[in-house]
Amino acid sequence: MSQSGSYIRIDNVSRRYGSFKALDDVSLDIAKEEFIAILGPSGSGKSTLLRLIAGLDRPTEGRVHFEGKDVTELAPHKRGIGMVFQEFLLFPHRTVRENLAFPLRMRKEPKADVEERVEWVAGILSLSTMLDRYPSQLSGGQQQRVALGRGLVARPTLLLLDEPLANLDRELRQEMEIEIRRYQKQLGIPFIYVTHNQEEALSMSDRIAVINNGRLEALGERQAIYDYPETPFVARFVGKSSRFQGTVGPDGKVVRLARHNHEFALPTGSHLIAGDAVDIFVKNERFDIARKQDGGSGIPSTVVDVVLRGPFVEYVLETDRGDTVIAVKPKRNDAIPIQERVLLSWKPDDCHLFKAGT
Amino acid sequence: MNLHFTDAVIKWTLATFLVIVFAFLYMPIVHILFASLSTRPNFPYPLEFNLSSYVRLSTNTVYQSAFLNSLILASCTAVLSTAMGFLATVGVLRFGGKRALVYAIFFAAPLFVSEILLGISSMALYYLVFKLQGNMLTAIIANTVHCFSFCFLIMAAMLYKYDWRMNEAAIVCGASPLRSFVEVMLPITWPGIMGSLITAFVLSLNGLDISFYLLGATPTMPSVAWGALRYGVKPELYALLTLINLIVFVLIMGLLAAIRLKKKEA
Repeated sequence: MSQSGSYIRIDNVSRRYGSFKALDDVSLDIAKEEFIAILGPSGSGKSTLLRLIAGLDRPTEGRVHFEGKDVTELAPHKRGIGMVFQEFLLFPHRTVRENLAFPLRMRKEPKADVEERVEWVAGILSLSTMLDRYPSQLSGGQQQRVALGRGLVARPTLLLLDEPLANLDRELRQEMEIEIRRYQKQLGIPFIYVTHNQEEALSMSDRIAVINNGRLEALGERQAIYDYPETPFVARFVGKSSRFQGTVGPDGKVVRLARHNHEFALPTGSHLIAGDAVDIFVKNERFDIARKQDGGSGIPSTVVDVVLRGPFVEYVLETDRGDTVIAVKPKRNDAIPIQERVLLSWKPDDCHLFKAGT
Repeated sequence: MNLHFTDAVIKWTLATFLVIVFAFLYMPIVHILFASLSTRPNFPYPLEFNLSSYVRLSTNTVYQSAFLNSLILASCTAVLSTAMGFLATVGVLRFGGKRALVYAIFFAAPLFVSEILLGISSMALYYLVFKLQGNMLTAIIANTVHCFSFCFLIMAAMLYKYDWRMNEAAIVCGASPLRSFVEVMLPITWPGIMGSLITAFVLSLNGLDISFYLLGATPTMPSVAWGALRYGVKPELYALLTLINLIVFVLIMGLLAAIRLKKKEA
């Protein structure tokens, strides 16, 4: 680890398998001490990107740089990285201690250092009491921590994480999300975290790179990715949202929904012009629901179900045209009962508009 | 009460059956052991304990060289066919793709070719094409061809469950491909490799047909035993066969112990 200029640079990288483009011209700069999530649906190419950074696969085009050095042709075992796999892949014939010591032994560290590093990593991951057990004697969460420890123990230049929490149950996952983020801040090396789970990406990372069909769809601060999606795909994939179709009215000032009798003002600064067909994305927590008896405008709907989620309430609504929409609201005492007639609307600035077909 | 009685009957019937099956399997082997320890090898009952046939064996150069030849033949075949079987398994499982099953079937199919046929045709072919006379080398090659399919099947069964990403996990930890093989893949899969080695060893140690047709003037255990049947069995042959059975027995016990040890680890 050098003091300055430690970063990862992925430069116009493509990977083809025959005629199939798994990755298509992806460029990405990762700063030192950054936690970046690579988010995408399965088959989007996000794991391919991770394997290219690890050196387990070679790009057909483009270069990969670590700390200013071109490592594109460098064998994976010489890259000085750590990696955590979804299936953990602990060595079943070795104890936890031996698993943790493995990367250090491979790097020919002196024996005293090996012991010291193993103790250190076992300490921060609370594994000290189970060093002499075999992986098969550990729970899923413990195995996960050993896998993480094996990735971190040898002072890697960066840590690659390939859906490391996918095999854990929900509660443990949320606990580990906080832990992993803490380790990253503590160690000050870049973590590159591949996931198809947008909640994980949002809760842990500094920046998110959204990958779809082998292309980089969006790259930005997590808050920006969430609040200002640049493409319809990002709007649909990050956060939970509903989609509507509509047209910009002849005056160029309102958007009229296609299937519902509702219109709202076109947000100021929009590039859309009169007559444009648009896709409208509204995040579930951005909906306004008003009882029909109170009047006002909106999509006439019926409350079909109310799901309690601790501090939040999920209203399952059915519009009069038969579409299902979920609206999330903070839990209050005046909850709207099932079967109540409501009007569904949103503020113009709370939705994302894209010209249809983009 | 009644139920207990029926249970007991079933239990004892099964136990008796098990004893009969084992007796059936092992009586001939034990008989040879008795014969080798007796001064009356043709009918060694009542039993004796007499080592004279072993003493005579120690001076019989034909049997000794046959034993040595068989040992060389079996060891070389075991190593060669296991190495090839391992490579074939890796090839089929990792790079076979959609046609993996087709490759696997063709690798295993020679199992169903009769050994005699393989022996004769190997002899004919090697002579015809390579002008090779029947000798130790051709015997090893022909035996390897035969054992390869067994080795392939044994190791395919073991490696089928192996997660190849385990090698990648070792490599990203900084292990070279060779080290990841030695430190991770080999220890995880070695019961399969050991099983393959032992099977190939025992098969080629005992296989008469292939060695018989190929060896010509070089005696091996099976061909000497075969000859002895025609020219009169000598008691030292019993001693030699007992020794061979003992070696095989020790090998199998070793394998069993190794598997036990591995289970304890897991």
